[in-house]
Amino acid sequence: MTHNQERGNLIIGTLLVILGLALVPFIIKLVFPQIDLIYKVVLIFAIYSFVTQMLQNNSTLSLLITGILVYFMVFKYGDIFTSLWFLSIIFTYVGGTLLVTSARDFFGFGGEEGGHGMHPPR
Amino acid sequence: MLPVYVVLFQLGSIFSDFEIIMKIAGLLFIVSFVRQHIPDRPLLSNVVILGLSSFLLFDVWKIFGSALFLYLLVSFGVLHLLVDLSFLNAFQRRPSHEDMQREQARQRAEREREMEEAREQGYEVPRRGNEEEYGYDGYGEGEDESGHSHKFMQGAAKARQAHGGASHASSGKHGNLSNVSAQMIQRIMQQRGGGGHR
Repeated sequence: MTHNQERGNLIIGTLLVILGLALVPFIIKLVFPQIDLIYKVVLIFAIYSFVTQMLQNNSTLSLLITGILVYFMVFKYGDIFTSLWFLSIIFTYVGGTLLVTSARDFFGFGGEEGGHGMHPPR
Repeated sequence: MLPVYVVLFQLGSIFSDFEIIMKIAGLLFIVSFVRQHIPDRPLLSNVVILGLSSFLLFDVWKIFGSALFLYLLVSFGVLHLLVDLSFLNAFQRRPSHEDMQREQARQRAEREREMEEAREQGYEVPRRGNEEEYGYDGYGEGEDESGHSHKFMQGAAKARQAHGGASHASSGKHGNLSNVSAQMIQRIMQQRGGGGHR
């Protein structure tokens, strides 16, 4: 297996791990359907705090913009944005290192030796 | 065909909705930026916000939207992921046994090719099996930085002595052994781009 193939495998593995993590909120919702309400409340608070922080005041305009964003991000495409919010938390606090190393060491993507080996000869 | 149209229509509506969300986020970023930099003059800041918004969100939205999307990805830490991917691929990889064998075979083939070229140009180069006379085995042990073997140089000097010194017997059609080896080494270094003997 060449170096490029190993690298391609590692990238695909990392994308699969990210996709699996994006599915975690759905799986939790399948087990506990009530948690959907908690997702929505948390998303609404996150959107409201983002808007008031950006507008630097708490006025009618911020409520209006919050309402528009809440309609799209919480009610119309709530599932997609819940997954994105979950992924953003993981990227922000955990970092991508865990995802790449888990794809390599835990799931075995990126070569037989876990992606090790020097650059192959030309 | 109807389900395909339905799916495409829904995808189109999703993209247009996402564009609206991105435009609202861009407006918020512009408002925050302007109010941070013009905090004392509300009228001026509102005018600047209107001008910037109309320009960035409507005239050059394709460029600004792409930049905003990249900015959001970077701020969420996706860049970390790319750095980790490159680091894990490039720097934390240990050489396997097969890789080392392939590298050795490549170096060996390259060295034999150079020797063959020198031989075709009329220089006297030891062939395999005959290298004991020159003390050169052709496999790079004790090489210097430019890839030339100290052992070969020592062997050439030994052979020179055995043939009666540098000014004595000619051992090739271009002159004596010392001239031949010097020319050959110079040619090899020129081929490698390292310059000749100074």
